[in-house]
Amino acid sequence: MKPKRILADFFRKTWPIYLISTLFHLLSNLINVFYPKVLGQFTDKLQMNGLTSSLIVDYSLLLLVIGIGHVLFNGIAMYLIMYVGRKFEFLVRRGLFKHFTEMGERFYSKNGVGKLLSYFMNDVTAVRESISMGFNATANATMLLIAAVTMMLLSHIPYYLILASVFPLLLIPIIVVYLGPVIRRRSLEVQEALGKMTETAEEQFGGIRVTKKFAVETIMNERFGKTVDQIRHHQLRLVRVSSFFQALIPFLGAIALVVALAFGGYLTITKQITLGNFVALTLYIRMLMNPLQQIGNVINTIQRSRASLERLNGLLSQQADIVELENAKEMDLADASISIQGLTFAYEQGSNPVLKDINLSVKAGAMLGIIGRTGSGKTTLMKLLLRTIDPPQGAIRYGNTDVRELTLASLRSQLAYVPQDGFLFSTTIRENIAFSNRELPLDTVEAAAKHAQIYDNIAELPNQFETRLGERGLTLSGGQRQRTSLARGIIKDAPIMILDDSVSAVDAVTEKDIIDALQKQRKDKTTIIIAHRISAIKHADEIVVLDDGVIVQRGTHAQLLTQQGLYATLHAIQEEGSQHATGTSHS
Amino acid sequence: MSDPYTPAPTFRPGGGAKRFGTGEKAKPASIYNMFARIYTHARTQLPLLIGAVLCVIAISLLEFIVPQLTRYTIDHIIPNRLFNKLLLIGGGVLGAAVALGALRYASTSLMASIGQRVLYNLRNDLYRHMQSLDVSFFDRNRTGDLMSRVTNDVSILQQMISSSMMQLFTDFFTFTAIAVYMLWIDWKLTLMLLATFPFMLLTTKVFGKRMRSSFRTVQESVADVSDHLQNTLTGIRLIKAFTAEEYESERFSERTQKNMDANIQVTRLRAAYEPIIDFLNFLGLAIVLVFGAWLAMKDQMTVGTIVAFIAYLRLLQNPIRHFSRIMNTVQQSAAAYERIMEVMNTKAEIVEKQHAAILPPVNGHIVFDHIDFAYSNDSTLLERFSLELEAGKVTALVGSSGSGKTTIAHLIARFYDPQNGEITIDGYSIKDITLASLREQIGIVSQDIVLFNGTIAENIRYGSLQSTDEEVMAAAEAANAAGFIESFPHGYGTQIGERGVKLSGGQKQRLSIARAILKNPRIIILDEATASLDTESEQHIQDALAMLLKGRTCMVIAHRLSTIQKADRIYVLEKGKIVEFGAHDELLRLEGRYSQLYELQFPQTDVS
Repeated sequence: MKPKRILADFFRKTWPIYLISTLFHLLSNLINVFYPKVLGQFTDKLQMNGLTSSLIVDYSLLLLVIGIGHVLFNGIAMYLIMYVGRKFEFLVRRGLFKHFTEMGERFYSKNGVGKLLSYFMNDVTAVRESISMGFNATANATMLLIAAVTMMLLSHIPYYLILASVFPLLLIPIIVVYLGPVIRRRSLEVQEALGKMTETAEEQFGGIRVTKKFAVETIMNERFGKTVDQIRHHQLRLVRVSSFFQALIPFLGAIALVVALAFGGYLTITKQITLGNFVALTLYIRMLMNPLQQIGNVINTIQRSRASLERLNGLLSQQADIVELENAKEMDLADASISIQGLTFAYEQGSNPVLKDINLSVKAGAMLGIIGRTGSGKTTLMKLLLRTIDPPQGAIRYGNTDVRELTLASLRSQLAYVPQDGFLFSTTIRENIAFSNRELPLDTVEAAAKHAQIYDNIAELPNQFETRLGERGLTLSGGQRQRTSLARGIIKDAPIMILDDSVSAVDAVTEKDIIDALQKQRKDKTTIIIAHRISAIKHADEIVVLDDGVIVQRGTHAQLLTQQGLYATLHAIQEEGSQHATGTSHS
Repeated sequence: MSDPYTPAPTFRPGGGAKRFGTGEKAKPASIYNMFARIYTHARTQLPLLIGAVLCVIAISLLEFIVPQLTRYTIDHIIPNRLFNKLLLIGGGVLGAAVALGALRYASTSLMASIGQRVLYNLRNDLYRHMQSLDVSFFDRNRTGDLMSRVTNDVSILQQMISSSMMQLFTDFFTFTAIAVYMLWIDWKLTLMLLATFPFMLLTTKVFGKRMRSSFRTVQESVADVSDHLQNTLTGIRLIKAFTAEEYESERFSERTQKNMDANIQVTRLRAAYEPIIDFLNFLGLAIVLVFGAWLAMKDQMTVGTIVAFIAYLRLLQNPIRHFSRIMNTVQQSAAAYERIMEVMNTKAEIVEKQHAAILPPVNGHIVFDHIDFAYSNDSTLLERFSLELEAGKVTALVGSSGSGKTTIAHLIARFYDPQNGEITIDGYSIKDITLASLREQIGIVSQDIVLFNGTIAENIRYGSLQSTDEEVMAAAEAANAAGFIESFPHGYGTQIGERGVKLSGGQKQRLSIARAILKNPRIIILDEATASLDTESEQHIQDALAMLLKGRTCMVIAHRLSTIQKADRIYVLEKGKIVEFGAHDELLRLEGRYSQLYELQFPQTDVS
């Protein structure tokens, strides 16, 4: 697995902009150097009474030009850097999102939505800040530093004196090496605490109704308070090192000054260097202080954002569980039968298999019903068919092709999957239904809604199909959500359709209408229906009863009823009410 | 009635951040308000604050002293060859350096600590306030938007408090000191110099306004990004099943692009504003030069004064330049503060009366008296709706989905207030009693199951926080959940939620039933509680529920008739109206809507 290097990649692409910006910084600083010179000449002229009013105007104009030049180049240089910083943020976020869409079940069961959000919001921003602000500050500070050192070297001060004075500053890299990792580690803790808080907030905004129902607002406040407290704790821990670090660098600058004063002073008194040299030396050392402080800040920021960068790189180098084969095929599933042979599957190696030796074949155009207890492996089977988790090699075939040899796009675009939870996106109803193809005309959307028995409900809404749904489609009731989600599956008109307990929240009458409509509409197409209730699957060509990952019974409704077994038991329980009622009132 | 119903103006919960809360425009929060609020939070840390300020003053003084020491060395020590004093000076600078380092460390730590405390309070206040808001608030607002307020906007304020405020203070201090000193040296020149200040102020005002509104756009676009992310990541499985990855990536890209554009707009403003201020600075310098030279030529001023003056002028530039940089942060914080205040200023519509009574343990006689209710203005759900739930009896509501059953349950728990009419429990209007005492006595098991990150035991214990482990286990047993819980390696200590064990829909439902059983409420509402269960579990739970319901008032909402046949009274609802009611047998004899539903579900021919 090759670790991703987002920053290196980015610099490789944008280095010309950085170069231009550096040049502009340089220009602006060079112009700035003239400023004291012009002022000096001006005061000299003034002192020598050589000033005329036209000269005054010239000088002030010259100063203004210097001002404009400095300001302009500096402004452009900064703008460029901040601009690429934003570009970086945009690119990384887009890359992250794309990466997320590639990740599979396992990834999402490990990482909560809130935690993932935190990467986008906190970490990307942290890195961006350090590369844009950091760069600007470093560029400026480095130039000032170089200028000061160059002038020092050019000014006939003995090199050994310079070296002695500057020596404390050479300790900076050692401090960075020593304190850097500490700062980074603590920043990581801060970022993780932030992620935790985001996660808690996300979870609790989603679950607010439960909180209200149980009147446990105080507990939730405490839970959230704890995460905020963690942030504070880690932030303060970080501040303690980072402010120590930031105080240390100017301190070293001051030590340099002490050396210059004492050693330089001694040399001056003993006449080994001139007073002029001594003055110049102290001046230059003081000139060093400001950029040093800035560099200290920058190093600090960089160490912090390195923690974020590591988090991001780590996230991006996680590989998707499900990868297409290199020579994956596209395939038309219209006439493809589905065959499952000897399928045994466990989520983790060594753990109990969820499915055991499943053998099943569905002819093209047939309807298969699957019934079984909660936890009997029905949904896992569907996920394997959709390849959102990887089945063992050769276990699942469409036609004669192993599902693992198909391209994901060709497989999933020809399967219509309707999950149980009726998840809707917060957008319009129309977009939710026409999710497989946003360009579908309204009458197609309406037709699908009619098949799913949701048309009347939608027609009653003020904006009908253009009604926007809230966070999770909360303005619709559970049954309405399921039916809208069903319409989304129906409109796809795919060769294979899978209903994963998709009508559980729908009343009996509507359920019957839906099943009738499906039977008509999908006469020549393959349909798999998973349900708890026999009424939803009894018309299927074949019904499979799953129990604890094993197919315990199979056959048509009529056949299964004649057998002793789970199916007949379920049927009896489901019909019990009916018999009970007939016993007391009708007959 | 103490709180008149304020109509919810929009049916579009996703209508954008501008339509926030009830849509009332929140008062624009001024920068002054922001600092005032920060100060009220910081006031509790007054000793720390004073400490930090003293540190800053001491730093400024020490920074002034160090160059003086250098000057003293040049002017006195070297010409007089005072070797012993040289060491003294060295020691002095060293001491100053140590003191400076210590003070810098102290001031940043102190400031950060104050900042963190202020933020800690602010974030908790914000969150607590959100928790106190109505369910309808959460219907209207997007989770991603709320999230970005709690996380992003508060963090922006943090940056300002922790780093910029001290800088602002230091600069203000330096600026005033230098300006006063300059006025003292030559007030005429200083006034000339200050002539550019009105322009600086004007520029700051003009740009400040734009910056703030740009930052506002930025923060709104951040909310958009976070909302889209939240939404798509929650629905990621669906996106994959529909191969909509490309489409969603594209849509995400659009939103981040908007965010980038908004940020670049801000950068442009900055890139224009800061140089303008710098330029005005240079202009001031030029003015001083021209005017000073003129005065010098007329011999009204010595050259030395001008030179000194120019030197001070350069000192003055730094605080101004810093200030223009900080303006950026301040404006950004103001925009963030505005967004935080929007939430803080949103009042809950459902509030307790001032002296709301505590509802005593009830029998559970619930009456809906001519209730009018609509979620939004233009679609009435209940109209002059009346319903009576007898104490200790089981009442069932049946009807197709969307007929208003869940709404009735929510009205009893007072998640929403009806526009007209009154709901009473044992004769107490639910508006006259405290929300806590009301909700404590109601247990709702619904079709939306939410479990929180934490252990199974913790999740069940939400029902009753003081309950013992034995009680938790008994509740799980009663909800027919003990079996699967004990099959996990960690049993009741198993982590669930986003990072824990994945539970099936039925397992989740049984946990939420256990939660309600543990709560042991007087009134129980089962809202399609068993819809997602398989037949056998449902059967077991029905038995558990039958025990639970004994002696309590119960409302059962279901479309599966098997679950409600034993109800004492059944109401059949269509589009918010009761079309039939009675016991199961009576309803069958009516041969109306109920028997029609019944026939469909249990066709006689089917039993072979």
